[in-house]
Amino acid sequence: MNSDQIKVRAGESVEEAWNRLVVWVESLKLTRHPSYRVKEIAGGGIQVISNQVTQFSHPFYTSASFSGIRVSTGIVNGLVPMMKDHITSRTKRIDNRDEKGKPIAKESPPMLDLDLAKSSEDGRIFICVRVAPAPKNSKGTAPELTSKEITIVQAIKPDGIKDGAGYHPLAMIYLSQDRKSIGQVFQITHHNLLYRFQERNATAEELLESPKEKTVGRHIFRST
Amino acid sequence: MSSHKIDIPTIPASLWNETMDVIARRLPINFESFHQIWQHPWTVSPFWFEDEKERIKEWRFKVAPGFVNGLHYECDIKSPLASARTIERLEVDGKKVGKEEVVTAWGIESPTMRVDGTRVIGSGSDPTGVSVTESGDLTTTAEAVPKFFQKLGVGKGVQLTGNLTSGVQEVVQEEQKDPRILRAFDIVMRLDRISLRVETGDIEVAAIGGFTQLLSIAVGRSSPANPSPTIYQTSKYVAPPPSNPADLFEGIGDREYDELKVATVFFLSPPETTLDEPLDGSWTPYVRHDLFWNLAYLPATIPTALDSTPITIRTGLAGGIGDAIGNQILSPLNDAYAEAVTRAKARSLEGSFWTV
Repeated sequence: MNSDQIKVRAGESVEEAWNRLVVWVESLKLTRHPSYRVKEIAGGGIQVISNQVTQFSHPFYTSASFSGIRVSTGIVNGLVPMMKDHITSRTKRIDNRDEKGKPIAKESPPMLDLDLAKSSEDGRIFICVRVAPAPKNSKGTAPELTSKEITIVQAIKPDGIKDGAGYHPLAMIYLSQDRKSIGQVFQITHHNLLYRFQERNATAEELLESPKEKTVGRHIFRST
Repeated sequence: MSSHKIDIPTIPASLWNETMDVIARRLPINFESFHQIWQHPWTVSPFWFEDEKERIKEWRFKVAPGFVNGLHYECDIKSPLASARTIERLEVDGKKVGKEEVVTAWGIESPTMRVDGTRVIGSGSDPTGVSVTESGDLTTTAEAVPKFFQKLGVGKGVQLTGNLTSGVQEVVQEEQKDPRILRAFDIVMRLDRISLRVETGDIEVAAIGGFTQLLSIAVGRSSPANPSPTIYQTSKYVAPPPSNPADLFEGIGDREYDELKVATVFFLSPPETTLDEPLDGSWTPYVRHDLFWNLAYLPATIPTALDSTPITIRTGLAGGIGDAIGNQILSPLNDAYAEAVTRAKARSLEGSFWTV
């Protein structure tokens, strides 16, 4: 900022100088904005600091590129989900650790292949966590959930497909108008998750539709 | 002719320039505008908009994308406020969007909304209610001014007190002189859901040669539900009261939506502003958010019909024919009883929101 522009010039009237000052002050009007922080510095000056871009680091942060989808570490029922890495064609934990929690050396975290053709009619793709609990045993008890039953997949709808598993959207990818590139990624989930299956008996109509479904219910994901 | 000397106040150029140096130091020396800062879902950003060519001067706002059950919000706006992406999406099928046509914009397309109407809080506001004590003392009540704005010079407004029996009235005036004016409006998110409704119908009871009214619960909607949340603005949002079970018995249907307030946007006037002055760019906007995260939602479970033991008659009269006639008469009563208990169990399908 150059204060020379508001200093009086030879032969200038006070009114002219004043009007120039008013215009100058107006041009410096500071609009209230969450990114501005004002502080007083030595000598009585006021410094306005604009916060630099800082990435909000949260569970399940999803980033997309032509190389694929990466999802930062997050947990569901205390377990780290798995994702198919299209480079190695192996399904790995998203924190790049093995089943015992030991870091996998010399390998990058898994990257999900993004299939742009598998989008909704209006160009939306959802990255979902899918929980498919193992079926109950003969005694009617469900085995404990493991990371293998919790995977991150691509879906056309936020609630996935009707395959008996529970789907929860982590992020939505809005494709460009021509559907050939990624327009923008919108994060949906910002917290770790708790999964529960709210079970109820199938109605007669539901049994007619799918006779094998003895129990139906709602898959519920809550933040923790 | 006598000369008269007048002292004309002057500002020496040196003093002026020294003053300018001080002003320059005291004013912001460096700031830049950028939009890369992380915004939480539902962040509301008001801004003053001027377009000399179109002769538009108005407050507008944007709401950052917010999701419910993985679906972004939608809003109805006039086409000039829609983003290019919205227009492109709507015109993809060859449809031409009119100049002032109302279009449904998606929250992920950066729609802009104009501020339609505001309410006054504090100085200059109208009472919103009256409280009366047992002794007959009455006091007008009004929306409270947040302390933050009281400190910035907004008055609490005029309060009327009195007594119903004595008729004495008193006016509690403003504490502050020339208080600043505070205006506000609310932004609300609405999500459609199914609702409970009571339907009545006559059934013929042949045995008694007459008709009996049958009540039944219908689960549904009067119009197709929009699975996406929608947002709208109102000068003052009042949350709908919880469903009253008695309403259902009166035949009044359950609400067909659930709502949450997204934010309240306040506008603070400059000092020495009067109530009739317009809301222009000299006012300062402040936002108080009520939503910070994306949401999941589930409606309440649909109540199942009560599995009750029907009332029957076993007398053996007329070789059992009397029992059959009696039970036929009782049958609608049993149905009505079951429905009544079911209704009492679940008076509303009002759902729950939670953050994800």
